[in-house]
Amino acid sequence: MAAENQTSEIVVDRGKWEWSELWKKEDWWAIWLGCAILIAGLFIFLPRPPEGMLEKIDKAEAIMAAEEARAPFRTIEWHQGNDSTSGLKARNEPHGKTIARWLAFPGRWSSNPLESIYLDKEGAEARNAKAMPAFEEAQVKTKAALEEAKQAQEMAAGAGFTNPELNKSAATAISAWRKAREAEKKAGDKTKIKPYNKLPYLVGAMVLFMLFFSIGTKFLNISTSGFMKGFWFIFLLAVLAEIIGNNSTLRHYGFGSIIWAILGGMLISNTVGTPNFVKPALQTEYFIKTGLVLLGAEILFSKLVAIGIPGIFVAWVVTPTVLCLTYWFGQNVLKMESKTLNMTVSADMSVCGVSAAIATAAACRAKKEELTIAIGMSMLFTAVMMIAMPTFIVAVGMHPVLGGAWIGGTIDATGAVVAAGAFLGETGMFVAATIKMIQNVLIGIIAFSVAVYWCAKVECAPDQKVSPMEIWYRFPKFVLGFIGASIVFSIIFTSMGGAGEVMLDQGVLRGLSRPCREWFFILAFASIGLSSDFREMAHHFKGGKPAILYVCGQSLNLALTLLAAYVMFFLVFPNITAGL
Amino acid sequence: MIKQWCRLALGIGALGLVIFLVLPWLRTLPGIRPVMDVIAEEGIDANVYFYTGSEEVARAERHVRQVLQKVKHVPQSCPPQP
Repeated sequence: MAAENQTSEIVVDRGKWEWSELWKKEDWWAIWLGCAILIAGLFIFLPRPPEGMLEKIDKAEAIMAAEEARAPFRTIEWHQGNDSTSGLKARNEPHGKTIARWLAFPGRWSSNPLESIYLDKEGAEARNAKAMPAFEEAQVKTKAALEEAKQAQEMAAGAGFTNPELNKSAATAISAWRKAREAEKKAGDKTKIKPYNKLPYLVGAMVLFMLFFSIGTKFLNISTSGFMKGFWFIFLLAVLAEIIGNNSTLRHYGFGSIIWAILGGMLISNTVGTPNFVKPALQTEYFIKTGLVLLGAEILFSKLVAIGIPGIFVAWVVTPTVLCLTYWFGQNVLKMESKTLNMTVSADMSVCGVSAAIATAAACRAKKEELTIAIGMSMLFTAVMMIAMPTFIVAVGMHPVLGGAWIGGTIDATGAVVAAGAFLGETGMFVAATIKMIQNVLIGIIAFSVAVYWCAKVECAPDQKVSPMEIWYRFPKFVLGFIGASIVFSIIFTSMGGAGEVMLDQGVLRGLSRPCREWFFILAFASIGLSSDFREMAHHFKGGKPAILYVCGQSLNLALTLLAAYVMFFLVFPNITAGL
Repeated sequence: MIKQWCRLALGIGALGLVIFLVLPWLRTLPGIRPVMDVIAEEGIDANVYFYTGSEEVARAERHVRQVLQKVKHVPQSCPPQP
């Protein structure tokens, strides 16, 4: 069946380009809509920086440089200078907060699901009061830790920062103060809960997105009125999935809203059936491609050098190697029927889970059931690895840098990487999170390469030579928007210097692009669920080959990543490891 | 039609069972609990699937960059052990 489908999708030289594609194809509409959001974000955030931003950055940098020169460790003043800029975020400005309110998802809850939508004044006060003793205790601890750090630093300064013992003792005391301060900050956040009612904003977001996507329906041969009539149902399912995914227990496991949107939709479509009025609104690809263009803007290439050459090697050499070998294994050893399923699972397992699966599946035009299988397996294995890996690493006494790099390079989802890394301590978490971030940046290249490979090698008859122009005709054009957004935003980010972090990353991207992208993806997955067939999925899972592929690929990934991390962090660049 | 609605109810019930009973119970097992406790204590969102969704990643990146800047200027005395 799958083989037949693939045969029917081979390249036939058409040799033509129609300009009308620019407004008749959903790939192009995804680009236009994605660009519209990004441009709107630039216009909203860039002219409104936080007050005194540049002065604060300059002042902090001057303090930090002076302190770096004064002492061989990071002094209290160095940290205070650093703290003064880490709170600078364009999305914390009034306009950013307004956008956040309108694009907010249902919140976290533990026992009452209604609390994810509505919390009254008494409820908020009760939560704050409950958290207050812990906060007060944390404040006392921080104050005491700061005093100790000051004394230790003064002693080290008294010796002109030349006594190694005094320097070490000061650095340890300062580190203890930083930990206490972080704990105080977290405890403090729990005392600042305000009453909320998200319902009006959710309705507003629904209307906004419905109108936003309706613009393209007129040109895409989709019934605009039908789309509008069915959209509310998909949005409702997305909101329900978000509410379930925000349950505290599920959040800890990493079973987020995406899987609940798919499962909820599948449950409906395979039991009572998806209502007919909803079907015109099931525009999975339209939502997903628009989300992917926004995701492209979040891929900032300057993030690549965050942890230097060892990080690039672990994330950018091992990962593509594992991807290619796993795909080869799937085709030649497991003899998987569907190349698209093989590629989606391989990318999802080797790169970064859900986001890589979405991007790769769209690039190679995988079926929605194949994407669902890849994401389902990724979430399941991620939950297992998130618990097993840090437990093993701690049990064998592995160095936190090595353990962190291993976790960052192998666990699929960013949140699970942070969670597993945190079990190793701060250093382990920092390394794991940074490696995963660098790996995230890889998905732009992977999606582009897969799209080209599919057009040139896969979707063609044996021995057929496909011309470059034909590759262009067949190329999924939304990938151009995905890559283009990445390149443009990377250039803007780099050219802005220190302000790029505040205005672009913590403004346009995290303040507007990301929440929109997350909404589009959850709408896409609700649509996938509502149009998926259990039997079709069972067919793709025949013989358990996708699971075998995942396990074999992940085993290779674990071995190669550990080896590469050891060689890079302990043999080639031990000074970086020691500094971390 | 009633059969289909019963299936839907059964499916929702099964999901509810997993969400409210099985997963919370698993959380109490000795092999799982220590990691889950850290996640709960640190308030980590394990759901995040891209780096821009995580505040911890931004903090980690900042820290690592600063360390690398410092490492460039400090000679290494003895290599770390894995």
